[in-house]
Amino acid sequence: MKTLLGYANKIAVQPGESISFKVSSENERPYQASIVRLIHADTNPAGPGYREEIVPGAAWTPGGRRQTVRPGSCVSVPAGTLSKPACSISFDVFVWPTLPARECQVIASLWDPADQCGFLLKLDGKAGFALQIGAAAVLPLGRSILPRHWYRLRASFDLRSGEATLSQQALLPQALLADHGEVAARLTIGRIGGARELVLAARPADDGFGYSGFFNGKIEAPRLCVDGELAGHWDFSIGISGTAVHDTGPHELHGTTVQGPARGVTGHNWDGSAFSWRDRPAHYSAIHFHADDLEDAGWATDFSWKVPAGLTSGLYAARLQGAGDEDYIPFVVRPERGIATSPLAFIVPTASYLAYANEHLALDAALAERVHDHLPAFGPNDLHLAAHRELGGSLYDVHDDGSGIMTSSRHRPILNMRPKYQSWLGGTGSALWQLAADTHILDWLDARGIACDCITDEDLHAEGASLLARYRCVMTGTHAEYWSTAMLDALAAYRDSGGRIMHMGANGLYWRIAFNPARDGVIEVRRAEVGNGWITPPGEAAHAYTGEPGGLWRRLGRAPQALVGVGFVGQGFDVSSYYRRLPESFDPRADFIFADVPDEIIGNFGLIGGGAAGLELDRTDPALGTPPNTLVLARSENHTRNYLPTVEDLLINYAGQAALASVCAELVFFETPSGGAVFSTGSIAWSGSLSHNGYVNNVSRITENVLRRFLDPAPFETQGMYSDGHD
Amino acid sequence: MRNAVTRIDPSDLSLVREFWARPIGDHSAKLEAVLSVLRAGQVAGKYCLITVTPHTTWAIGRISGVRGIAPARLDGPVFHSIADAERHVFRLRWEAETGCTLPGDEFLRAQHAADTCA
Repeated sequence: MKTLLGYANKIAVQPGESISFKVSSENERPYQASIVRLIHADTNPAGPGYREEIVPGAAWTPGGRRQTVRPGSCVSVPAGTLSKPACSISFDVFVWPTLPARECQVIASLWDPADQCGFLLKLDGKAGFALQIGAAAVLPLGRSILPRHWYRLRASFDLRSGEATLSQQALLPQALLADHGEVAARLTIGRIGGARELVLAARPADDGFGYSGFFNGKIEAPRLCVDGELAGHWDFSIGISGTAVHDTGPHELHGTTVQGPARGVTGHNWDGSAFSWRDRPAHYSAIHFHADDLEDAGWATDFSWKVPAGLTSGLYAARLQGAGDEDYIPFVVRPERGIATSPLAFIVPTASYLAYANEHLALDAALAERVHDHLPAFGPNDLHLAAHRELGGSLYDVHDDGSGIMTSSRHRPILNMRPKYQSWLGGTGSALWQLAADTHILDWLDARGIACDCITDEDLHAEGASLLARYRCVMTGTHAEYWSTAMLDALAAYRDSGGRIMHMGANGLYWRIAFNPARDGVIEVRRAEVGNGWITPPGEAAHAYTGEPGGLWRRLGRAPQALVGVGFVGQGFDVSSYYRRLPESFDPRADFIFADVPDEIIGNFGLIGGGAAGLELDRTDPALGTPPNTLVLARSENHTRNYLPTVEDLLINYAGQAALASVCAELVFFETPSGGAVFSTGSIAWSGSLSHNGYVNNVSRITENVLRRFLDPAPFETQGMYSDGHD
Repeated sequence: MRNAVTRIDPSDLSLVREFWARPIGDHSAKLEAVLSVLRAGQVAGKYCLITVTPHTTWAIGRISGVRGIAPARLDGPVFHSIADAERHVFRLRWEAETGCTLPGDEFLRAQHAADTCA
């Protein structure tokens, strides 16, 4: 069992800045904390072995305290005038429950937990919708409720007469189903007043900390009248990109969202005439709440560290050790803003780390084993995640109610973004995915004595092309899959101004994401048109954070093939294969790449599945924009039957389809008109072969040949090669 | 519940021997069809591996299928290779699906060697 968990307030920090670490010591015992530089996060004995370096002068022994995670989203509206004693209340709202059988889901509450007085409108399992006034007076409606159907609820009560009513109207009535009706009763009602907030989709917790009784589903257009006067009418279609919740009523009782419920979702009146909330906001005036939403664990800081001046840029971690457990909290030390300390930058794909953060696919998806053609293996971190759903899921998982998780935050412990972590996603061999796999590149650079600045996706998103302009060459990670518009713009501008890109992995530049404008370290995806784990519901293709249409960059008109020559074609997760050199590799333009490489077979070795071509694979496609001067240097072959084409390439099904698919990796190089160049490996597994045979092998040689030339400021020859195009 | 129609011919051990020779990697189309049957079903109760010591030892577990309940490690042997663990799970599933007991590991390995030589 894991007893130490933590996260940091930042993913990237520069010399002179501080970073804070938030830790839970489950048994409340002291632990040792230190800062380490992560060199090689792979423990596979077939490779160089795990390697980290202690940073001197950065050690602590915190006392240890237990910190908890309390997920669940809602809207909180400071009570203001609502805290005054009232005689009568009426409340009107549209709801779309997703887990109607679950008990104690509060739709709206004006409740004082200390005195247990006020009212709760709730969904209470078999009792159906119910109105509770005070601690004991409950008016259950008892009508049928279908999941994912809209209902209009009206509740009212009068303290003087004790009269209370509750009605339910199904907007899509069903035959032979008691899905509408009204109940009325005379109740013994105490006082109303003293509540500090009106809460939608939850109620204030009895212990005074946060909320409880979370609702699962959509709520729209709540309207509250007090003593016959309009007290508040909240329009969720205003301010969809942010956390503010707007009251159109006379008292301007504006609220805020808590723990990031989904906004920009279809409301009861969505009719298919618009597919973005920006086009018809009035059709998007709902919020989808989940009892397992989590945007910020909100832990207190246990220790902080000021990064000393002159510390080498790289991937670091706070290492926690104690009571038979350890944890690492990774972060990047980037160069100071405006300065490059090396001509090479490695873009640590932190957005992709977030996309996969705390994924539960093999626990939840029956197909996981079949997709991988072998059993998933779970380590201690996976078992802890499985038992602690409160830590939240990844962008591949679904909420308790089956809806896709559209946002991911780093303000929580992320147990699969750790050195030494083996992922069932990583196939066989080292079985690495994302962060740990990317250290194959950082370790190789270290072993080859090549200095490198590490920058993150968040830096790239915030600073754009100016960040990259300081470098002669930039490298991507093994699976830099998730890109915001600003990130993609920056990489494209860099390339088009003479930059050199080494795209070291595969299935990169694939999904569009949006960064939360209100909270750093939180991303959103809308899986429009094509799904993975789940697919965006009709009408909800536009990101709430930006309004941009979501989905694959390929479907948004910016296929990765146009930027880096190759794009995703298929994947397999059993064993990797090798590349065979192609005639184009003997083009004089590629001489520098194959200097001292006499081999025809490239990468028939490696820590990831035993070969350099494996897991997810990319190849060229002129129709999707691969530049005409691209040299396809080598192509992988002899993959197993488990390497299957990506779904966006399948426009119809037929027998034997998989066997005929061209799922392979292509190693490519091309020059850009401005004297820059791009080299793409086409395979996630490529970097797992770098360290083979003491780093002396043809994958390492090719990579270093390219890198040395890409770091050379001499522009590439780009004029006069072809007079009439090139096939 | 097993299908009324037999989905696997329990007398055809050639595919079992093929799996024994290479549990992970390329499989014949016929073996893939058998694996599709054996690996079908809901996530609740599915076999998985529990890593006991990374790169060294693994145990068999079962996925709960219930959110918040971790896979449970089963009593039984610890395996020193993932391939052996895969063979063990294949055996459990085959025997549950067909009701027929498979021969021992050594026999299956030897038979595959004989098949290959032939």
